[in-house]
Amino acid sequence: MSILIVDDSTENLLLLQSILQTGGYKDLLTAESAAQAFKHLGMDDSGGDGVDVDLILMDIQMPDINGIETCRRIKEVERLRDIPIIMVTAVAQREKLQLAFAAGAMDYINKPVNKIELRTRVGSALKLKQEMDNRKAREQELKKRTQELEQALKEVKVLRGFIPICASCKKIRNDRGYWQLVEAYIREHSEAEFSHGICPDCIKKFFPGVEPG
Amino acid sequence: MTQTCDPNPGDKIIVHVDTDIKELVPGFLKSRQKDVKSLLAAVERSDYETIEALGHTMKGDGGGYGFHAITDMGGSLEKAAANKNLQEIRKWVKQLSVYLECVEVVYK
Repeated sequence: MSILIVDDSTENLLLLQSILQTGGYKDLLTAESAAQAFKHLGMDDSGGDGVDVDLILMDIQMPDINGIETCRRIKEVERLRDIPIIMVTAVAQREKLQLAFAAGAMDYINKPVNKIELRTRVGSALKLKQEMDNRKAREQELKKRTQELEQALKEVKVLRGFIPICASCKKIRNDRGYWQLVEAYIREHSEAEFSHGICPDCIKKFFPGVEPG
Repeated sequence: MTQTCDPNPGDKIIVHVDTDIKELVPGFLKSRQKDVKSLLAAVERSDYETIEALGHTMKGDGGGYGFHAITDMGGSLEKAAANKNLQEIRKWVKQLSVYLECVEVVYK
């Protein structure tokens, strides 16, 4: 699973990379600004799709666009909305953290970073992301199966309920209001096929000289 | 908590740093030395915004590398710059400079 680290301090980027790599997280991307982060995520005007990222570690205090605003913009993009964002920050003010959570951050880690805390929080966040991805995949599968089932049900031909039939000629009134031969109606509404013959009564009636077999 | 160097020559401040980040430490300390120059220049022109930003960065980065004193000094610089207190700023820039001269890293 991949992690994007966003921080304008090169030293902090190097530090977080080192801590995470020695902790077993090998798939790491870095960005020194919001603009670089947007580029990685395919949010810029370059037209690229961006890379798939499973977690973002975001510094709050950055020049130009700060981490809170960056978080908010990422969360506005539907395909990126479920990526957990953890703020990594030396900013202790409660208001800033509240703003970060309001912008969509899921957690925060204080700077200076403690390696055990960082690895633990990253591990938890990635586990949560994995479970969310699994759930989404199951939902997609379920949706597909439901659609297939609904389609199959539409195609099932079953005769049920009251069927309006002429008491004289035995024609049946179909769903469109037209009277049609009983064979035609049954063919349309079932999987049945017909093999034609003549009953003994009709043989006597229409072929008086012929003995029924 | 800030451990600063006594002006007596030969004094050293030992800092124990995780061996995992051994390769990053020289670059980190070099950057702090550059910061001292930048801070002195910023003091000359009373550029509190730059001082505050540099202080904030040091506050965030120092302890992660094992240099908790740098975190403390960075925080103090940040606060002094926010209060536009040039005297305090000068004091902490001096402390930082002396600290960087005295610090000796031991990897564990």
